[in-house]
Amino acid sequence: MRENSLSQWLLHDLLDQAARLHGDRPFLIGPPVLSFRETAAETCRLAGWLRSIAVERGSRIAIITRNRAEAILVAFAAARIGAIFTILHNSIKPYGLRPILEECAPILVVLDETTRHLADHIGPARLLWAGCADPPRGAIPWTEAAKAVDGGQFSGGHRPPLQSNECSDPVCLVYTSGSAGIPRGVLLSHDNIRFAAAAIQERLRYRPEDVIGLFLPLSFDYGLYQIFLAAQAGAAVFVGSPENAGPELLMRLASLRITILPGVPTLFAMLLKLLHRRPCPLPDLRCVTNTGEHLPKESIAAIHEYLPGVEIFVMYGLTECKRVSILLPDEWLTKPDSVGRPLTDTEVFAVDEDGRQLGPRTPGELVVRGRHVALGYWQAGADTALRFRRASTGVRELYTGDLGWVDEEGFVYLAGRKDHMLKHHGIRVSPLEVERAACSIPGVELAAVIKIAVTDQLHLFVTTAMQSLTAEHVIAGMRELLELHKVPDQVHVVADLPRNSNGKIDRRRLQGEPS
Amino acid sequence: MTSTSDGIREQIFALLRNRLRLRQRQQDLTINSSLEALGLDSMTAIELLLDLERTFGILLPDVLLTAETFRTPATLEVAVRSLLEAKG
Repeated sequence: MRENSLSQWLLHDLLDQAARLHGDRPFLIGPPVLSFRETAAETCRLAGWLRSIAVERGSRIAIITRNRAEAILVAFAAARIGAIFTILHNSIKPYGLRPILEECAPILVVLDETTRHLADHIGPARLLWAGCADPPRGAIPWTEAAKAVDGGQFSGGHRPPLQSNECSDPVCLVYTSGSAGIPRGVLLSHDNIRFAAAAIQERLRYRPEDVIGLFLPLSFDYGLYQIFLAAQAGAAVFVGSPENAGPELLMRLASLRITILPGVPTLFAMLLKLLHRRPCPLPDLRCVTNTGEHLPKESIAAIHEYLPGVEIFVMYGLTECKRVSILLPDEWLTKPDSVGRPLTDTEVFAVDEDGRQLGPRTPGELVVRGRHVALGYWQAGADTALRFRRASTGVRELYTGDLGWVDEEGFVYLAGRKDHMLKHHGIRVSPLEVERAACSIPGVELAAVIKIAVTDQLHLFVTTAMQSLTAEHVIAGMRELLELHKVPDQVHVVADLPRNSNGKIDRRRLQGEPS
Repeated sequence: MTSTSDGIREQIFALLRNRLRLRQRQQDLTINSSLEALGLDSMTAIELLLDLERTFGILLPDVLLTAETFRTPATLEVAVRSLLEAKG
């Protein structure tokens, strides 16, 4: 056993430590169910196979599957050999995939039944098939990768002889909507993830007996982090999908005896609709955590009413540093409008337009410091320089683009965005990206998208000279181009878009239009 | 669309068109259409569940709250009919 804890700060050390401490306890609840020991061993084998197909330190691997154990195994295997993994939403379309693959140039792409149609769109990358059905032509079947043995078996104590990386190495790219309308890959190091996971655990206190219900996509960083938080605590994760959060949600929570439910406001809205339909006690559920977007006070009160005893953690974060702040359940009683205090050993403050630090309760752009601040955006120097800056003292700072303030006790409050970024189903969406996709549909001339906050719906307004263009055409076209959470809920074909005095589209006036 | 004498199918189609925001009389929704392909996500499925229960005065038991039930208009119709028959 290694003595020096500094040498155990790589992402997969979380898994290896759990395998030592919790060995045969279940970790990933699928089907299949994999224990910590099995997961560690599988990822060692896979790491050996990755190396055999020339995946090296710094190589990229793109995983585009539904939430499934194989995606998690590939991610840990990549970490073992110093490669960089990225998990993309499985509803991504060739239109959105092309620029990402061009930019990150993965050596390997992992697909399954839900993304089989992307097999012809992965360029020169090798294709690993994580699905059960017959693999597409040219794909490497999972069984071939999983049976490789030359990577060194997990020996229950010593790191396999694959090590070539250290903790400041990048390990993960999380794609998120950039403000210019182009997806940006946030590059996270082993240390970024380990620091954030440890700091989150300090507040949330997951336990070895916990069962986490994962209904968020792994492409969304908080979904992915559930895996790391679980490994860190020795807890099990039900590897579900957003599709499991429909009518069957309560049944799943009850029968799997889920104790922790991480969610976004949309998920809690569904939970409450189902509880309102038929109250159900869910005695095992002890904790829910909310991120992505503001959870209305009424929802929190309703959760307390239907599920007395369940603790609710309100949180704030962005992919560029994962988590900024967490509000503890008892703090909510006195600070119900806050998103909590910054993670331990991190700092949050508001700045004015010139980057000068502002005093308590003075609103400005929120800036974050700490070891969780990501390495930057993948191959996007200008965007990286804009968001990831250095103070005159040399300290790295993340300019969040979020407006807010901090009170005398250090509690953070949010007051909107500096740019026009929207949140839909808790996930960041760039209106420019949606509008650009709309304008690529034949017949669409101008497009503007807004969000109606009360319904969490995206409304797209388009103008056209084509008489036959209907809202249904546009919606169908958008479904061909964008991932589900970026597709508007409603499309309005209009004669013209309202303009302000500068001739720019006036989104505020559009806000009043639907209903 | 084949019509049924008791109008159950027509009512299900009407609820689906409303939830999926499909236009009336368009041929895009058939008895075996994949509802997922037409945009039925988790939230819409829950709304649809509540619509069906309100419209037909039924309560879908847990065993029917599955992806299979919400796969096509046909699978929904089977579920609704079985509950209406049980109700008598």
